[in-house]
Amino acid sequence: MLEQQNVNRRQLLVYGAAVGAALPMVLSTSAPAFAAQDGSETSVITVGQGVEPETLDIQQTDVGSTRNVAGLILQPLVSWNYNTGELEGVLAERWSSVDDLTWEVNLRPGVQYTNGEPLNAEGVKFAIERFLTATHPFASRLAKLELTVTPVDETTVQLTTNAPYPFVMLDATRIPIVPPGYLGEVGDSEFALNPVGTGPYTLREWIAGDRVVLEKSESYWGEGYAFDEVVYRVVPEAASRTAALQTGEVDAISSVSLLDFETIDGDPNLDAIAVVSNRSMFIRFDCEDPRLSDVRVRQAFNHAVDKDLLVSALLLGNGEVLDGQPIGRQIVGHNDELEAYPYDPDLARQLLEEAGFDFDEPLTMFGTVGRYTADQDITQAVAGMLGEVGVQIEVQPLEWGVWLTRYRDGTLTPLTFVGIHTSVPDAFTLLDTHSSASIGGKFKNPDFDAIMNEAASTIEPDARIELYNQASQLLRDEAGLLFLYQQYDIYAANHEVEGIDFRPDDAIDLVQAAPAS
Amino acid sequence: MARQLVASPVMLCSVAFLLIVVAFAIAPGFFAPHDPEAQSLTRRLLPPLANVGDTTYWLGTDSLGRDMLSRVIFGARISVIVALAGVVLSGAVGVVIGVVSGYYGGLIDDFFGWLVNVQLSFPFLLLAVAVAAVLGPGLRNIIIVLAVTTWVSYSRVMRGQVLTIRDSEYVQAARVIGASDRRLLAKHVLPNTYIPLIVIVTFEVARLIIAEASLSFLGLGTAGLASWGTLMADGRAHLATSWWIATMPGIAIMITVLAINLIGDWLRDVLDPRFQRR
Amino acid sequence: MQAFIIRRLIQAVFVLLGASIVSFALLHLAGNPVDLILPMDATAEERDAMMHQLGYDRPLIQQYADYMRGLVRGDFGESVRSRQPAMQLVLERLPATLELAAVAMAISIVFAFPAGIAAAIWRGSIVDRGLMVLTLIGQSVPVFFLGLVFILVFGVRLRWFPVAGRGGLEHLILPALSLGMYSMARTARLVRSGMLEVLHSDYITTARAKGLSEQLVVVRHALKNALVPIITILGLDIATLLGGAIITETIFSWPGLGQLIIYSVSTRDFPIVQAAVFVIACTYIFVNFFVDILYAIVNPRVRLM
Repeated sequence: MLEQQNVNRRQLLVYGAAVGAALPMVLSTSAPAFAAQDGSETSVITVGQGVEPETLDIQQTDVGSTRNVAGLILQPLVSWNYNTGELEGVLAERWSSVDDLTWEVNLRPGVQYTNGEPLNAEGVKFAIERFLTATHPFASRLAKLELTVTPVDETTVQLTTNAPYPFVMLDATRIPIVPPGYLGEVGDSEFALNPVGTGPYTLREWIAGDRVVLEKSESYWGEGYAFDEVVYRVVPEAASRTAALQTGEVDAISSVSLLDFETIDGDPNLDAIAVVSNRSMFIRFDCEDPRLSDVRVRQAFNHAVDKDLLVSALLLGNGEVLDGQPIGRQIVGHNDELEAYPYDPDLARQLLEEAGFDFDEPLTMFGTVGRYTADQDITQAVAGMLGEVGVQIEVQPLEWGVWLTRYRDGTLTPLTFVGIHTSVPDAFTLLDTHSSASIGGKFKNPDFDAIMNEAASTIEPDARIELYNQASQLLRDEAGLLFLYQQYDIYAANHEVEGIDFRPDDAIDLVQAAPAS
Repeated sequence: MARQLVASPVMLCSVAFLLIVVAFAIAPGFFAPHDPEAQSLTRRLLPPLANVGDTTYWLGTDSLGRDMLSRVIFGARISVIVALAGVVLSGAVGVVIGVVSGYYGGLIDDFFGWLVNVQLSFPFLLLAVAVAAVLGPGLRNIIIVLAVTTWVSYSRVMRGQVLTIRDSEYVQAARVIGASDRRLLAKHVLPNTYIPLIVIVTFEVARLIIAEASLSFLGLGTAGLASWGTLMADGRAHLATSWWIATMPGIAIMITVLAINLIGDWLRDVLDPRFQRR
Repeated sequence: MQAFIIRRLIQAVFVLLGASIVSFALLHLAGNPVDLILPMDATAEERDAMMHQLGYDRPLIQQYADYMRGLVRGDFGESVRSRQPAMQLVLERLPATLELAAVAMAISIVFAFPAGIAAAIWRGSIVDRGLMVLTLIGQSVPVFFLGLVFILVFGVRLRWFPVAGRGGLEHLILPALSLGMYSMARTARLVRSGMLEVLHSDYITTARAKGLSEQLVVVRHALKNALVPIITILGLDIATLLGGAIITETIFSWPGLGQLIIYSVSTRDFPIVQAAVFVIACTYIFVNFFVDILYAIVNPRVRLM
């Protein structure tokens, strides 16, 4: 039915400790050239994305495309460096754990917001407290932990939670520090349209539905960001994004369709860049469903699906098979000991027989439409592979909004195709999704729940990773999921620009970006 | 009429082509040289007429190495079902509403007039998403969405027709004699409306096939089953490099629509004495 | 005339009411915005809390009553996601869509009338056959395909026009052409068949018999009578153009209402969708009001009522 294919004509960015310390950076091999610094010419980079920002107040949203735009204006205390696998300071210079409940953060001195307000401890307190009541997805859990900010002196704050919480600093990578004076002046609604921050760029204009134009701030405290202007344009249709890249209307694009790979490949002025994403794809079992409650049945399903073939044939090589855990290799907490269930349809049939599986009753498998790369093809193919070992699957694809409502209602049973993404590079979310307390958790394993419960409050990283390893081992042994793959996000850029860093968390980092020399 | 048909070679070709399409729709497996879903990654993106080994791919292959000719033949089934069911459903609803509101007038007419306006003032996409959400995606629901959005054309035209005929002398005369409403409609009003109806049907068949393609483009199309429209929507990303993937089903749509239009024009000319070419 | 306007106003209110009820019902059947805002790992508590905060846990009737109360005051509420007034977001986008639809319609009329008339007069000639082919393409090629072909040929290959966004005239040509193509094809065909019908009718024969020049017959008599059904169709086409603009806007990255609707529907941003439905319904009603007046001018037998 399907045949294997080797994928070679592709540049691939791989991140993470598992791959090694020296990481290839396709677009930033040469030092950035600051070509247009003499003032004679304005250097502009134009980036095409599929979705327009709904707001530039990124305390209210965690949508990747929005963060890319507003992240050039508003900055967090710290950010995660996927190349080194470590946190690095942005507005914070140093941070240290005081005790299980408290972090002390020293702010970078002398930083000003672009409106001239100074960055200080009181401002950070204001910003984080505002975040706790915002609509950002992280807000409610931090609010529940009663995260409090205590200014110690002008440039030092203490962050305290009411219970041990290991992810204070990781979550802080998503908390933009907003200026209290300006916000008090203009209010939330105006701030969403015209934010002011400490970042390298300021907003020049935002034409609804069309573009956001940012210009370099004269007073930026940091280095990098060679372009005088950054323009983010909205180009919803993937084929049109590729066309706009070809005509030079934009210099870089995100969410390149798999099928456009060849077009871009065939153009000597363009590069396609595949980035391992923080999203893991799998089929979720409802382990309490009587037909799936036997571990042998779930193992059989895992053996019946040829993951390598899915990736090579349907993703055209743009993915990596999960090694028996829903955790990508670039994520802290990846379990190096585990291996994928090998493709073995005979063993699958045998296991199903042993478990007394009822081959006559079809199982429903829910899927998404256009939400994930090649999602409809993948669900069809998985159903076909299960069909080969005698399991009848009825595929039911759902529109994304409907799928989500039913996911939360718990009615996507017994099987659903799903991708779980973590915004911070830690395995916790990827595993905890499957604990019984979680809204999507259908693994229903008390041991697993207990381990994750403990991990949730274990501050010491090595101890926590050990717990993650136990949990992922259990999840694999019990075949709590039908493990599939990690997909690659595909970006493309022309040769006018260099040094753009496309990250696994949907972010486009322009710190090293510069006009091509 | 049969004599006139034979006398026109263009008509013969059109009818023959439509019959072929219908045959494809009824027994695609009989005509298709390959399994439309069989992938072969060593035979990806072959142009039309490519020869590999002992196989000729007449319409080329797609990005997964599937034979486009077989996919177009199987696609005929879904497109024909969508077009036929859509026309029958929307036609039936539209004609009944149009005739009733034209014939009875008054409050009934006002109500349906209001419904038409609400329908037309309303973005069709919203309806499509809502139906997909409430009923789930699938062929049946796509047909419902399309029917709900196209009945208006029938209803408007039928209403106009019925209005003119209702007040004509011979219908008035029949009424005086004491003919019942139903009899009047069936014997005198309806038979005089089929000419405009044929014209609309030829329009609407094309529109339904295209509208289904648009739904596929928006990600609300038929899942799993690839209609011509879905093939076009899926193949669009390849237009720049492998034009045939989206274009071949497009040509199938175009010839079908051409055939239907020619037949429609011809039927009208034959049926309407004023258009007799002499 | 006054009675006509009053009657129309009353009708308009009912149509708006109907559109608002239908859109409200459809949206609420299709889910809620909360599920699309919350992260995948949100707890049931968080979901309930946000449902409550945004008022989606109240009975539907009450939500509708609140919506209507706001509507009467001209307040459509705030976008769930961006927190900006919904109507303002919609009105920001309206000019781009109207510009596109108007130019598409203009192109379609400017081409369709001469072409349709010529095809009717020289029936069966090269002109007629050529028009048949053109209308066929307009009718049977989906707008997304046509748009992408335009982009690839005139944008990427020839570099004559930009492929994305709104700006000067050069940005407008490709999207307007692909949007107007269907309407152009349909109108040309209607003009042709309308003209044919009229040209064969008794009074034209009489006019010809009276020795009037062919030109005068066509322009003074035939065209005027053929116009009547065509104007109705053009009125309907406005709705099609506004709706069809959704796909054209997506393909050409045109910052109009269509794109806003498609995104707001997919994110279930109810206030924006409801405001957009209202605006589109108003536009439709407004345009059809003028179509009816035009109708009466062209055809004095029709009385405005």
